[in-house]
Amino acid sequence: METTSRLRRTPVITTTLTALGVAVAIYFSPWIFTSSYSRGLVVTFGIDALLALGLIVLVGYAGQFSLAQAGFAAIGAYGSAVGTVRFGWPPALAMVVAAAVAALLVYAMGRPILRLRGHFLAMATLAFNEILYLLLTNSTWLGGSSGFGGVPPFSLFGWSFADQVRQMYLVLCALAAGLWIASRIRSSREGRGLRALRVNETVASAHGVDPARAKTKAFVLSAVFGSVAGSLYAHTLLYVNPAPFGVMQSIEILVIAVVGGVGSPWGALLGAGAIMAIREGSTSFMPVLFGEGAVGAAEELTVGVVLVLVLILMPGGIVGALRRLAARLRPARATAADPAPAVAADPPTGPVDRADPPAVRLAAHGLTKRFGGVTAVDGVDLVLHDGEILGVIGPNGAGKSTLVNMLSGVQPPTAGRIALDGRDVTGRPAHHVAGLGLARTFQTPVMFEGMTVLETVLVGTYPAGRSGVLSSSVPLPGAVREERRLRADAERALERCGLAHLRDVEAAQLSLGHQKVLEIARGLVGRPTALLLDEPAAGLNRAEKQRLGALLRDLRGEGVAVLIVEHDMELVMGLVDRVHVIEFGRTLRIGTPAEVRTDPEVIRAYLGADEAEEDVRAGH
Amino acid sequence: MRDLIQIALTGVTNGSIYGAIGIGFVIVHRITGVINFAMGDLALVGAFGAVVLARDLPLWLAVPGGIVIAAVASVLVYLLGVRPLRRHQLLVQMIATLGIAIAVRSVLQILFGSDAYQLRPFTAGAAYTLGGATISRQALWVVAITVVIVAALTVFFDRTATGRAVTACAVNPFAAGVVGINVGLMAALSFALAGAAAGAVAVAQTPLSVITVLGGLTLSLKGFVAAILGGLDRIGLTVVGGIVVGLVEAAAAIYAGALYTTLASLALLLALLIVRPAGLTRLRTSTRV
Repeated sequence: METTSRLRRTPVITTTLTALGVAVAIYFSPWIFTSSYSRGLVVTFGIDALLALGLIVLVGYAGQFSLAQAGFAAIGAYGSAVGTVRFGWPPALAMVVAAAVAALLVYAMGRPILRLRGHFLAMATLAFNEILYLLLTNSTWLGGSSGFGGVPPFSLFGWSFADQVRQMYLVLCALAAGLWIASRIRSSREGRGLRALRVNETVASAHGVDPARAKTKAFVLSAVFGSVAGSLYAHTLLYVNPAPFGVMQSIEILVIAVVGGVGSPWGALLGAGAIMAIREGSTSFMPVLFGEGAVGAAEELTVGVVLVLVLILMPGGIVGALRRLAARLRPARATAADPAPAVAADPPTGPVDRADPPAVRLAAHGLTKRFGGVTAVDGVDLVLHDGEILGVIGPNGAGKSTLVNMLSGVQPPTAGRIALDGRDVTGRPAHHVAGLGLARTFQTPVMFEGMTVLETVLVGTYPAGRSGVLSSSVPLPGAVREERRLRADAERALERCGLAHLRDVEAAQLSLGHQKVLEIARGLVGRPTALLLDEPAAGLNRAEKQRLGALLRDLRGEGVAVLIVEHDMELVMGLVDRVHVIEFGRTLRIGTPAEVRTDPEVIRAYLGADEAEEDVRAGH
Repeated sequence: MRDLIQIALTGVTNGSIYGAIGIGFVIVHRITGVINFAMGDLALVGAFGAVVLARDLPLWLAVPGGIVIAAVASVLVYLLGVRPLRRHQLLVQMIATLGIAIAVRSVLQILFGSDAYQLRPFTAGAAYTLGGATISRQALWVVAITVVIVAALTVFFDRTATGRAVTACAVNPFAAGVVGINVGLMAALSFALAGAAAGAVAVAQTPLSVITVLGGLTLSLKGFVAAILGGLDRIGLTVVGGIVVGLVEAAAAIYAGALYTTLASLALLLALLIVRPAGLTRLRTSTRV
């Protein structure tokens, strides 16, 4: 306990030090950048980085990409310009209104499109940016392709950001705020949900993350970043025209994000700096190389080639490269510290005797799943009680995994009904079912790339929390408290599963056995009332299996309804209260382990006795 | 009435072009899952290739030459941009095709500048008139070439062993690999076919209207609308989708003005993605009861 509380302190100290460093850097920036030219560059850098930061939230967190970031900047820039010049609003109001308009547009566009699998958002945003650009260049009210001027400098509470030093402060402070928000979100409940989603949509939604909703939130946030950056652009240039908001500019913002690295908010800064350096450097030799006329094309060529090269040679961008470098310099200590987990000698507890009949947690009736002509599950009735361990067994291909998929909402049934705690959840999506207290593990463990063991388990706490993007980015006290509670839950789940010593190791580097146990920790951490385990013991050694058995008995004692699909008969028969045998998608037998073990039908199904040989042949 | 016939003629001509570009999207997407942002620019590579070849060669050699150049360029896109990233997420591969699109466009711009280029018509002669509306001989070439593309690809995918192997990769690349199909080769082949199809119509339309290096993006977008209308899956329906786009544009041009042609197809794309992403195909409600 001592060590965990000390470890928990470290991020706070790092954050404070980083914030302090950023504040000092911003304060002293006018003494570093003394010429008007370099200050202009800093302002451009800040706006570029803010735009790219928005994109990182979308690409790096949600795994989608938008080609309209410049378009959202246009909404901010024109919104601020029209608001201040035409309507006489104070700049801050115009900025907020513009950002709200961008957010609404993005919500209307993103919500339906992000429901689709795949990357249709890219094309949709490309079309959106083109439409916006065409409208701006052809609108006489907005000055057409030459735009209009007279935009006042930004001002807030009587403070005017008129001269270049103040503009620099303004843009850098906005960038710092953006960085703060983006990093807060990354390690928040919603951010973890998004990053899980990016790796595996099915698994993330089985932990309660609504894919379309989460991605839409990231998209809205990225557009708000874009819009604010656009407003700042208008207030520093004091003039707006359509030229800087075309599709090509959107692509360049994407390039900045990719070059810097979408895995971290800091990638935006590194990318903006790198692209600026390339551009400043290339202006000196490009005209010599390609002739004055082709400079624009040559610059675009550089952008395109750099993009492809970075993707192939430096996946993860500059941030990724720095991380790999740091990992090589740091001695590999985390993976070395892998003592054999001290198995708590839990006395094996049998089924708990109860006077009251246990409540039905999960009930399925006539559950059927057809894939084309194949009927994987055929009219199965299944009941799972609170405080019970139900074993689902059957030969390979009997339909056990499909059954679990339907019960957890991962696959909708072709026919039949499912009720969780008396509520009908037939055909409801996995994230909905998870929100009602059902957790599950998968046969093949799915680890979320780049997440530590602790973070992986924290993904499982998603249904147990409520904090949204806004409350955790500020963060509000409630969100901080909740995060602390979820972390404590996660630490406890790790301890229960004997993984506490591995909490800071990257989950993908664990052995298969540890990954299977981690899946279970991720499943039980959200305090589910029903837990479905799909072959949890496959790949575990004997000691780990014993430990798993003890853990499941404990959960049963706490009243959790546990369903376990397993091939290890020794484990199943010694653990479960009832066995549900499935063969060819149908229920063969339901009974206590003792009943099932001696049942001739079950023996036939498993051993293929002589008299049933033709059945076996027909089945294969 | 004359307007309506003209809309139909222009719409079908331009629609054939969009349809063939859309077929390029469909073939590549079916096999690799990637939406190839460089599609329109690759088509232009073919057109510019034909223009250069036609300076020294007869047209009957320059045109197939242009098509071959587009196919080769498309395979290069696969080998240089997509294949090295095949173990990464589709997102990464798509961003790579975007980078390639920019690179291709800027190379074209360095080579050819911003001038407009044209090819002489395949067959000389005056335009046909139909109820007061006109259609040039070259437009008939464009439509005919698209019909040939659809017929050839349909026969290829349905009747030949190689075509079926490509389809197998589209359905299940893993299983296709297990039964001994060279999945990488089939993906390269799909890029070649996509490049050839898009290149062929781009070459054929060059005598019809001028080409400039900046046209690739617009061509991509319109072809993509056609592909979405075809459900990103059906070759025949994609051409129908292309014609829908062509008709919408032609109508917008006549009734609303030239500015609105592009705007109309872009708005169509957005609306489709938001309201009906399955396009003209049946909505895949599949398993949900």
